[in-house]
Amino acid sequence: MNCFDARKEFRSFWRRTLSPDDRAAFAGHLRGCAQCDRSFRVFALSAPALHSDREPEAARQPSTLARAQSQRQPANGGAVGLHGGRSQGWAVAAAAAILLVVSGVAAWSAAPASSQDVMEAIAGDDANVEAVSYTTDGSFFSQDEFSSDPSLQEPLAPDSTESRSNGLAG
Amino acid sequence: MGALAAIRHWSSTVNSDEELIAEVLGGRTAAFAEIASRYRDKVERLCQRFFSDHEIVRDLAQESFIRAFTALSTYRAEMPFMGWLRAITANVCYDELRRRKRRPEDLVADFGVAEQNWAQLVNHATPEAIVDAAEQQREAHDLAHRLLDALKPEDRMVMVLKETEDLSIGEIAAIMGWSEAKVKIRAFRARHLMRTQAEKILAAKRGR
Repeated sequence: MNCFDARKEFRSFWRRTLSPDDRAAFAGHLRGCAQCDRSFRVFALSAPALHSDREPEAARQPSTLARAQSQRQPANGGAVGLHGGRSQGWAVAAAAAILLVVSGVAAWSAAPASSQDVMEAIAGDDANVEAVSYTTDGSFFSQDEFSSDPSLQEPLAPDSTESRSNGLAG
Repeated sequence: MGALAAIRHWSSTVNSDEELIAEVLGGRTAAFAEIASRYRDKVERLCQRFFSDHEIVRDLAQESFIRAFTALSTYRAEMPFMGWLRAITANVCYDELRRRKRRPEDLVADFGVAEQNWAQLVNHATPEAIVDAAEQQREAHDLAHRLLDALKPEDRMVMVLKETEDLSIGEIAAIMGWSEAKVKIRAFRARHLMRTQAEKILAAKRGR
């Protein structure tokens, strides 16, 4: 394995998607190449945030809906609280927002709308979708594809004047 | 029922995204529950690339679905639904990044003991040992997020979308509503800063 090949495999090595032979070849190359070894260690500092494939821990915690409902329906039948922490307060507010939207839809819909279903889907714990797929191109820290691009020398507009034109701004 | 028949039965009962969206737009808003359950993990995973706090991740994922729900009539089936939803989620995260105060760029000064130990390990352990340890140690994720926290929101958006979602410059430009030149510049700056910071961290640990 040469340096170019090794640096393409940073991500694959990190994500354990290399075959045993390729994994051994990768590790062997790093043992004999100080530059690639150094680049891999630089890559490793940010990789846990960028390339970790762990299940989101949030999914294993009680759903926000459940917590929101516990806020809305206290055992003593008391009033709804909005000061149970940032997320709980937000969830109740979100439920209210959904209710507004849904009730607007329901006003002209023949079928009764269910804001409960919408919130359960958003906050529920039973999702079962396949993992996000990734490529094996580990070029970020190994190939400087932009370094020779003349457009990189162009000045950027100040941040305060930058805007988005995708219509998705909040 | 044979396996083939079971698969046929299953496929005939599973609605496509487009069918579910049509149901929601037709007034059966409960169909959005199925859409959300299909994509919740992916949306949370993307939010997790920007924020390590689980409460924030969950809140932003919910915010993304609410925006998607309210804007569903603007979705066009020419693009995959996940692509549309990813664009919404990315912009929700971008708004949150801009709302927050960015960390100072000199990270090394205020490292805790656990982060110092992790940096020490990255400096001296074998590549295999680094990968193994990263899965176990929370500080590996904390330090990585601190590195990302030092980036400007624009730089971080490009870094995450390019690295984790594997999007092209053109795709990122379309999602963020920026020019391709701006995306390239942001990518260059993000990589340069991340590499500089990481080198500093490793050099500091090696010198001790």
